[in-house]
Amino acid sequence: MNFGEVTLGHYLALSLLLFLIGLAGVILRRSLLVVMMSLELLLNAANLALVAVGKFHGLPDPQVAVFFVITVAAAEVALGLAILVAIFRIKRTTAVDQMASLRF
Amino acid sequence: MNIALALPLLLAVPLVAVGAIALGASPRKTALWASWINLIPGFLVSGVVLRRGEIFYGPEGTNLREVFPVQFRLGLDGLSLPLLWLTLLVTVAAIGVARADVKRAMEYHICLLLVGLGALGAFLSLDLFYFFSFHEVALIPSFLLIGIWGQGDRTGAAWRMTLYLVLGSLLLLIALIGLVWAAPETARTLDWRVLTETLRAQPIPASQQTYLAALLIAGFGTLVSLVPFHSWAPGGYASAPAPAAMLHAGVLKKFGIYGLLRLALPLTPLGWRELSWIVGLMLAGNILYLGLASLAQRDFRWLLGFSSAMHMGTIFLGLISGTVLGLGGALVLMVGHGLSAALGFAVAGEVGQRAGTTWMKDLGGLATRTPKLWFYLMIAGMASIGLPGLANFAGEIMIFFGAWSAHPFLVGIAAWGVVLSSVAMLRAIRSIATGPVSSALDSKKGSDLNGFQEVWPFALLTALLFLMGLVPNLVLGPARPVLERLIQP
Amino acid sequence: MIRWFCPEVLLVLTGVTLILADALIPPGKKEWLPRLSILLGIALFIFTIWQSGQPMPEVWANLFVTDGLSLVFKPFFVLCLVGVTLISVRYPMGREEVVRTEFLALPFFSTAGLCLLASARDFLAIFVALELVAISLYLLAAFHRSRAASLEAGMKLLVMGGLSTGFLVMGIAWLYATAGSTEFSRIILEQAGRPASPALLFAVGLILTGLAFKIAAVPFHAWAPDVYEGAPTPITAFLAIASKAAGFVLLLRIFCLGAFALDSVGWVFRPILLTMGIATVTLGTLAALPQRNLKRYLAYSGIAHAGYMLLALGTWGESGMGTVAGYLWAYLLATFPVFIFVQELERVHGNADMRHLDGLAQRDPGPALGLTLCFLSMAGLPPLLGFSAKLSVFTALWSAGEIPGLVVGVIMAVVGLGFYLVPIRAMYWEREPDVVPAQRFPSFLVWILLLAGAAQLILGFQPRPLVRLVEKSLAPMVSGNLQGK
Repeated sequence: MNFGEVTLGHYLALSLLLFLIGLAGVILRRSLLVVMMSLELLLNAANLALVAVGKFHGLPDPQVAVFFVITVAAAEVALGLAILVAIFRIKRTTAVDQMASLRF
Repeated sequence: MNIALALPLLLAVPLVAVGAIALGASPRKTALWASWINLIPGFLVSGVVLRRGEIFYGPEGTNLREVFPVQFRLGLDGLSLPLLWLTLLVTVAAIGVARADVKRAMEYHICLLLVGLGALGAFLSLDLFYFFSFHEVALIPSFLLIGIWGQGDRTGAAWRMTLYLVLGSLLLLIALIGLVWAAPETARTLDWRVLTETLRAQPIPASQQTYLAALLIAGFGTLVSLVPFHSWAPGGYASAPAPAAMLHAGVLKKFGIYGLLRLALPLTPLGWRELSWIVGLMLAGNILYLGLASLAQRDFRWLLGFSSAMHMGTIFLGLISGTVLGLGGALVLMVGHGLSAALGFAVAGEVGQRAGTTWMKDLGGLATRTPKLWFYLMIAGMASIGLPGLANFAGEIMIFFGAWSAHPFLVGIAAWGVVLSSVAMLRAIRSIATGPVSSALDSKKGSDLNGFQEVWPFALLTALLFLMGLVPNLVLGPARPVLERLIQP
Repeated sequence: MIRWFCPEVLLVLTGVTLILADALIPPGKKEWLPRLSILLGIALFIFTIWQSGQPMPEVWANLFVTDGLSLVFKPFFVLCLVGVTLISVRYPMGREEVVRTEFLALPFFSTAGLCLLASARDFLAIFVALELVAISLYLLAAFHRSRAASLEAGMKLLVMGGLSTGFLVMGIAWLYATAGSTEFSRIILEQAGRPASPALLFAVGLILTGLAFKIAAVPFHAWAPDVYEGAPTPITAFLAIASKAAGFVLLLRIFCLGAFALDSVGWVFRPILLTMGIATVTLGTLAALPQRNLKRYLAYSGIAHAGYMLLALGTWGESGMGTVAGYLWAYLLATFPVFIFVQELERVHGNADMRHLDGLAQRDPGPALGLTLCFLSMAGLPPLLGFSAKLSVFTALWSAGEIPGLVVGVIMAVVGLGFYLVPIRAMYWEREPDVVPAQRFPSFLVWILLLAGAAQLILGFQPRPLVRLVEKSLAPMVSGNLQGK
């Protein structure tokens, strides 16, 4: 079966879908670990879009940009996990709704 | 030496006094000295104004091409001269009445001086930025004065008054922005003198004038306690300590009327004329509604608060009269009301101090027990009623004659206002002054004004009331040319 | 030669030096490190000011520019750094006597990122600089590891920051897809004279969303009060002032100075910015009313200020831009002293509850007076500096004919005065004073607060120096413009 040429639009649509999944994860999931994974998904959705744009437009810049994003994401996750461990030591949980020492 | 330097000096003297008090000088003495000394530059500038008609200080014109074109520019002419003197003298009297043994005397006197300073600056400023800013300088000191040293429901009164006044000021601010932007782009300036000339040559379109005038009326009206915006005033004055009420009701409130005279009349004449029926309705509200309300008061301070707000209605009648006579009457009444309200609140403060209450049914026998206080109470009451020979009478009669041709119906209402205010005031005086000596006055504190130390502020205000009443030309003479220019098409 | 020692490079070098010194010096002999970091911060501030008067290359490999905005805001950020270092050394953290050096060094990296942001002219450069700021800040917010609140603040900041990064990167990807470049000048050339395509609008929308998180604009504000309350106070100050200012500098650069021809995206984003501004002012002001914790209170006050700046930005004109630049400086001068005070309040009382202010005017008249002037300036009362800022917001709105924004702004200014009077009332009106601990406020705090109060008054009466600054910030690059190259 032939679905026709795969265009930039397909890639961008897929990346948007991933982005939305990531966004939903950040907003809805209760475990901080999953929230962090969703953040990764968010950034990787953008990476996919960048790579696809670079490929289809024949530009090198976006593909270089991906490396920046990957690095930043790695730093963010490393930091996030460190904070998470510290939180777990004190509170013995990673559930978002337990993070309530700072409410009205 | 340039005599125009006396203008910034008028502002510098209280400021220096504030600094000195903050650094530990004796509060009452310093404040009193400063307010007396401030009369000297006052005399200097008045001399110039009487001779030449006006006096200015500060750099000359720049326009709004600059990003932030404010210029510290002061000026005085025949219209602001009486208000300058009103401010200077009521400040002297208010600080004279302030008690030396008040708690936290340092902050108390600083606040009083700042209120006076704000009023002075507002009357002297030519730049709209400073014109507006100086009025607001008085805001927070008033808030603190009522809140810390007030009586009765002081918390509520202070909040209500401050928030109302800020709302009014911000409406005013929008109106000022609108006025400045209504001028053609090359001629925009913040100097209201120049702005007046510009907008006289190129008037604002009529529709724009209407809403600018509406904003000005709402903004200044709130500051003057015009009827739908009045509810901060009586309670605020009733709760304020006597010197604060004197400064606020006597002086600061006149800023609103002064602003309307300066800005609304010459800059938006069409809008002002179009809206004058609304102003008429509002001032009728002031006279009738607040007049009736003052009849119902049982506390002397509240009665003074209501009657002070009520008289604003009569002044507004002068403003919409459209005649020089009416405007002049408004000016005389502004001064007269400033003096009589100050005297009234001073007496009420003393009575409150001596008897521990100002509830009229708890008082009585003031005339036999404390004759001097009774005398000044009579003067304040008679002035506020409008007895001939006192300043208010001259103002009111001029307003009635000036407004008769344009608003006969409103003059009728205002005459009823005189009746209402007489009934209220005479009833109050009867209940306070006559009858058996009340137990409150019988206590050990219930002594009369004691010696020159305590009497002179009252005597000063009384003398001024008579002076203005017998020679209103003192105010009208220099002001007449300015007023004529205001209503000239 | 001098060009290689731009503030960014020096900031990073200083940070690295501090960390190395910490590692190399044996424990027990580090007492002078905090003092050294303050001195270095001040030296850097002076250097930045000096350098902003020097001729600098305009364009750095098409990634960074030197123009008025960057010259005015680099000193701003370094000044924030000085303030943060000044209060960081007094931040108590558990049992440790001396503050950890990392806590002093990391703000230097963050500030380097902010300075880069101020002159970035390529979205990729913006992204990298923003992350440099953000990652240091996540760490700093969570630095107080023994307090759950601090850790939670760090975590919340991280999740929100990650979200904002996601939006930004996605926006950049879409920008590549539509404009083929992320460089401001290329995008202008590309878009010149053309109506904006939906894809471009989408890209800008994503980027705007990312930045809205940074400035805590409604509806992306919810993190701010929590994070501000939990984070160590110096970091709260940094977040509330420097980080917010960076967001606005970027907004200025993106929407006004350059990337997009104004008319091509303006018709969509102007109403959006204005609506956001109205919502932000309203929510910030109303939500501040019931607050009793000073840090949360300042968070909401900051949200309200952001709203006013958004309103000014939404007028889309030169006066609006100038207003934002001036407003940021006024905000810095009024807010930072209060944060310094909050820090000392926490030292003395253990928390930043507003009831500790009760009767302050009688115990400590100096700080009370300074604080009063700062709060009134924030409220926008003349003759203080904040009034000039609000006045120019209102003027910009009036001249642009944005009446709804003006009306809401005015009403909220009145309500705002209501909540700024709450601490003043607590300080001056008589109530049962709080139990006073033996410690008094240090004398330097008295001087700083009095100085800040005096600055509000003097600049309020004579705002000319600030106006010069604003004029300078709006000046284009020394020669040529963004279209070149």
